[in-house]
Amino acid sequence: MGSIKTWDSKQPQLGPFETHLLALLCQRKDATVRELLQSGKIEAAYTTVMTTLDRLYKKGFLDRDADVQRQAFRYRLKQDKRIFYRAMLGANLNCLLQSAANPSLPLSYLVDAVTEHDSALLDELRRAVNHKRQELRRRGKP
Amino acid sequence: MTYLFRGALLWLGSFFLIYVTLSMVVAVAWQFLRSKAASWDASSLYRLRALPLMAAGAIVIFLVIPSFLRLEEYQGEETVGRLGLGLAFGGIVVVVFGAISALLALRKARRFLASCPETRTWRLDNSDASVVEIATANPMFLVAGIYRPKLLISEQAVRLLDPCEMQAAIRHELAHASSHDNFKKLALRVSRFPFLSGLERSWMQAAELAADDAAVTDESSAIDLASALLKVASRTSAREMPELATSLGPHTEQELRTRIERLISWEYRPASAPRRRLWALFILTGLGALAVSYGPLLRQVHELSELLIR
Repeated sequence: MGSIKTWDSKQPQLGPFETHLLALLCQRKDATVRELLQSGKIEAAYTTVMTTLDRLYKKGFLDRDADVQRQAFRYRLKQDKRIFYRAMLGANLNCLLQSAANPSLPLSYLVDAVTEHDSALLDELRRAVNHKRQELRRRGKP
Repeated sequence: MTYLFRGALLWLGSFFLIYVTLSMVVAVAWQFLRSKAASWDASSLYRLRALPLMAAGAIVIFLVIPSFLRLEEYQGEETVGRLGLGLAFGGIVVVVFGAISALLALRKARRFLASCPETRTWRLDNSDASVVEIATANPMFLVAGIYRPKLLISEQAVRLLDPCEMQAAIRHELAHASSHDNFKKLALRVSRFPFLSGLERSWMQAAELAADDAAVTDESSAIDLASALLKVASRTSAREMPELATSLGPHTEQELRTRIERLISWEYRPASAPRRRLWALFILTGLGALAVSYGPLLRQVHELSELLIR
C-alpha cells in the first residue's frame, strides 16, 4: 500500500488554492500553467499558479515533465484519482474534527447530510401513503 | 486405485463439469433476460438460479453413479487421468466451499438470534404460528430459522405499529415462512457462483413482492402494510439482519420505493392458476422417456465418463 502512504495524514497540510489546483488536475490527464489558466476556472496570476504547482511538486503531490514545445512544465497527479479524493476527504474530515470542541458534533452533521436523501425519500413516501389513506377514508373504506 | 475411490472422483468431476457449465449458461442467459426480470415471479427466478445445482445433482445421482456401478468393470489397477483429477478437485472445492459458506451463514444467524433476548411468546389468533417477542435496540420484524422458521418481533415494533399495521406485517412475514425463503437462501449459499448475484438479488426482491401480495387482501390492508413498512424502514435497515433471515425492512431505497408505490396502487389481481398439473405432466413425461431409454442412456453416460477418467 505504498501508494496510499504518500497521501496519509503525515503529508503537509494543503491550502484551499492548492486543493483547487489538485482538483483541476484530477479532472484532466495533465496540464501546464497556461492550460490551467485558459480553463477559466482559476482567477490568479500566472506566477501564483506556477509557484503553487511547484510547491505541490516539491511536497510530492505532483509529477512534472518538461514540455519542450511550450517551454514549460507539464504537471500531473502523482496518484490515482480515487486515492486523491479519499485523501482529500480524510484530510478535510480530520481538520474538521480537530477544530471542533466536541468531535461528535461535526460527525452528527455528516451523518445528517448523508442520510438526508433517505429522509427525503421517506417523507415523500409517507405523504403518498397518507394521501392514499385519506382517499380511502373519503371513499368510505377504513 | 480402488474401485469406489475412482468412482467418487468421477462423480465429483462430473458434478463439477455439469455444475459449472450450467452456471455459465444461466449467467449468460440472465444477461439477456434481466431486462424482463420485473415480470418474472419469485418461483421462476428461483428455479432459474437453482437450476445448475439441481440439474448437476440429479444427473450425477440418477445417471453418472448408476452407470458407473452397473457398467464399470471392477479393475483395481485402473487409474484416473489428469483431466479427471482436475475436475474432481474442482468438485471437492465446490462442495467444501458451499458447505463452509452455508455453515458460516447458519452460525451467523444463530449468533444473531442468541443476541436477541426473548421477552415473551404469544400465539396468533387465526394461525398456528407463534410470535416470539425480542428485545432489540431497533424495531424488527423477521422470520428466522430453516426447518421451523420462527416469527420474531421486537418490543419496539410492537409499540410502533398499530394493530392493523401489525396484522399486515405479520401476514407478510408468515408468507416468507410458508414459502421457505430461508431454506432457499441456504441452498443458494451452498451453490454460490460469481456471475449469478444479480439473479439472486432479483429473486430476493421478487420474494418480497410475493410476500407483500400474500399479505394484502384489499386496498386498506395494502396501505396498512405500506405504513408498517415505512415505519420500520425509517428506524432500521434490513442490512442489520443476518443473511438467513427475511425481514420486513427493505435493503435499498429503490426496493422501498418500488414496494410502497406498488402497495399504494394496489388493485385486485386474480392469482394465476398454479401450473401444478402442467409441471406434473412435464415431469411424468420426462420420467417416462428416461425409463424407456434408461439402459442405452446409461451406456452413453458411461462412455462419456470414461473420457473423464482416462
